[in-house]
Amino acid sequence: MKKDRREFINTCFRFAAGASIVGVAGVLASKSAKGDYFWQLDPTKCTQCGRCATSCVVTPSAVKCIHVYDMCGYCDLCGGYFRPNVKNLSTGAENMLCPTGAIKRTYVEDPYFKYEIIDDLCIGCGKCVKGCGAFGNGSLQLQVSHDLCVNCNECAIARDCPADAFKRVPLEEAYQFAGFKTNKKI
Amino acid sequence: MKNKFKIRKTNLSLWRNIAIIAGTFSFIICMLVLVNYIQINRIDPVNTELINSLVQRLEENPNDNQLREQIREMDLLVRKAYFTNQWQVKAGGYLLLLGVIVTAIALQMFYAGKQKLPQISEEEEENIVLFKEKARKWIGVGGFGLVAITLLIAFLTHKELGNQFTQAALVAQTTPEETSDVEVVEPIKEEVVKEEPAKEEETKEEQASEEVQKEEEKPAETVVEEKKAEPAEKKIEAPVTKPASSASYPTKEMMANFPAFRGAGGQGVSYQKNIPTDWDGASGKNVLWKVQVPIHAYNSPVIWGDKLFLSGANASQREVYCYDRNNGKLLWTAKAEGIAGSPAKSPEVTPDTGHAASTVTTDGKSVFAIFANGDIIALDFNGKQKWAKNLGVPDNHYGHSSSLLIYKEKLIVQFDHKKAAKVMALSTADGAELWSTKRKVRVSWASPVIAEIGGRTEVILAADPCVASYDVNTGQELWKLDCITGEVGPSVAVGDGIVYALNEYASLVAIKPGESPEVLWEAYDYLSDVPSPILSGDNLFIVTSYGAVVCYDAKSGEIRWEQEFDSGFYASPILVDGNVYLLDRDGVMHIFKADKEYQEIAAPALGEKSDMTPAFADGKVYIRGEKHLYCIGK
Repeated sequence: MKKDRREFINTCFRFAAGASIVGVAGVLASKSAKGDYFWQLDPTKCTQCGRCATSCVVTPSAVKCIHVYDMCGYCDLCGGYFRPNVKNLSTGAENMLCPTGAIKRTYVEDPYFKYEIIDDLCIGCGKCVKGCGAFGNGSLQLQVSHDLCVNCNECAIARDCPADAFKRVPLEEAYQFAGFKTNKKI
Repeated sequence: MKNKFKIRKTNLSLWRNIAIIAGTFSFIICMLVLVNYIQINRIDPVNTELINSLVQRLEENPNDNQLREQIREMDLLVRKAYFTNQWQVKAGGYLLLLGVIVTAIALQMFYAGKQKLPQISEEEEENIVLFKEKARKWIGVGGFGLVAITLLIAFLTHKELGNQFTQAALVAQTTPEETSDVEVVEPIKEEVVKEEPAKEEETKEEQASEEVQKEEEKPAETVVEEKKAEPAEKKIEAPVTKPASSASYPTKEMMANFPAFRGAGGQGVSYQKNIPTDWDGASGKNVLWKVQVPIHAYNSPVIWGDKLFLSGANASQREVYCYDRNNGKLLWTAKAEGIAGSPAKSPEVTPDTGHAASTVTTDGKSVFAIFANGDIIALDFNGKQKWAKNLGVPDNHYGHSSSLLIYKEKLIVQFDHKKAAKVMALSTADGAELWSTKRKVRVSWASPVIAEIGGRTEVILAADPCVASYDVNTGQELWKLDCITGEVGPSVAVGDGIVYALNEYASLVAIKPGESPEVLWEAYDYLSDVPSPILSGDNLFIVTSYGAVVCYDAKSGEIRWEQEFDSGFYASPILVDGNVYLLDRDGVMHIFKADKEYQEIAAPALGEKSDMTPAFADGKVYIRGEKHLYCIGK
């Protein structure tokens, strides 16, 4: 069979177009199969420098303190709730470590207290995390809250983080907690 | 005439007025939102320094109810301001959106009502050639303008680019002759210094320097023999084993003085005797003299002979001070200025590190200082510059703080920063780089320690992720062990051939060095982020920044005793004559026996806060407080 030049070029173009459509579809399919990646901070590397509160493009920051209750000692003198060297355990501003009053303390039974983070007030400064890590079990941990994070291509906090604690994680590992052996899915 | 098309009459003036009102409203809201946004960024509820300082005052006077109320009111005000501003920005955003939509609709309606049929212009025809020529010209001008604006914005917003450009310009402009531009503000006055006791010290110092020269000329074997003699005597009298006292490093002269941060070799030992244990800064008891230091910095004093050296710096000035340690007289001030390659703008540092956190060092002939902008300077004992250079601005988010050390004619610089971590040896004579070894580590704030291990003199450095040792003569890496993480502040302790390193949120590790180093034991109970550990015999003392002091069995890692203090520690402990001298952040010196059981000797107060490690010489303690330098004697 004889093909003229016009027909030959037409066939080439058809093949090229077909191949590119298949290629693009393949790439998209593989990407969707893999799932998205999200920014998250590794609490084992975090040094609670306070930059999460100020560097995030979202105001207040998308980084929040999360309380891992399984690790909490429910202490009366909580290092994450009270300032160091506190003289009496009252809720006066002079005794509070959290600058925005984002931790709620509730009496459980003597001598135990429950501590809850009020997300709307938490600015992700990490002061309570530092305090809890220094004097307690380290149950207060900073995490990127994915309902607030806009998942920037280049995370502004990751860029400023002095400890390189930020990384992209797949959906299955969206939240990462340190010292949490059961590896529960949140 | 009737048809299905209606000619709508638009109320032009109404839409115009709506557009004007909505536009003005949007503009005002936009401005208010901007101002609020700037305010939010300015009011940082995390670092309300005023409240923190008031809380600190309250800790000192816990019964001051008025102050307590003031703190509560201020805290409420700051929180209210912060959250109200946030609410205002959010509400303002919605109002702005509404205003812009109304303006757009009103403008659309206004211009739609004004539409007229297009008419052919009766003006003279345009010259198409001229038009094209004009267009080309303006496109060219516009293009260049855009490039210029882009470059300008790049320079204004990209600090590093600007700095690099300024550095390059400075290097290009500065000739080698111009670099030796150190201003000696107050030249040394020999007649003032020469008092009776001072004379003796001076002759001693001369003898010492002669001995150093002799030593350098002698073959190595003789040096070892000579050095064994005197320290051995000292060792018999001292109740504890002094690390490396029988070895050739530190030298006899170094041990007689206090030549670097944490003493000779940075080992945390002072080889002095009859150091006072009783003083009171408030009443002046046993305070021989007290002088104000011109510029505050967190570096500690070092001593050689009669002279005491310090440095001070802020964003614009960098100075080295020499004091007569007998009377506190400031002998000279040398300014580090006009150093080739020095950046026009100092790097940003945090207030708790500052621009001169690195302690100076001396070899008895010169004094060497390094600053947060990478400037390193060598001065002779009269304050005259010998050499100066810039090592490049260390990329360190708190500020460079690693102190300097000297080994023979080598100045050891630990330069662990984000961009290119390295350790190097510079010639003390002219600053030339004798060796430089790249390190694969993160930023570190620890200082080098030089010690003899198995007959080999090693420089031992701690940084995330490893403790590493280098041959002091060649810079060759001898061993390395990945065992430490985080922002490493404490330096290592060395004794009996074992290296001890630690960092907060990591662990305390005892390392057996060698070709394949191994961890002898690890502990996690008490860790430090600032003060360095010290060793006395088989007692290892760990000091934490929150106020705990712990004695470990250096061989097994078992805790022998632990003690909690009210105030925290930033200064490192120093072992002096069998006792540990440990200054807390409130200026109280905790003196206790370097023993298996805790036995407090005294806790004299300076009356001034201090985070600096004290120096010891000739039966006296030298402490740099927040503002003053103290000499304490008997």
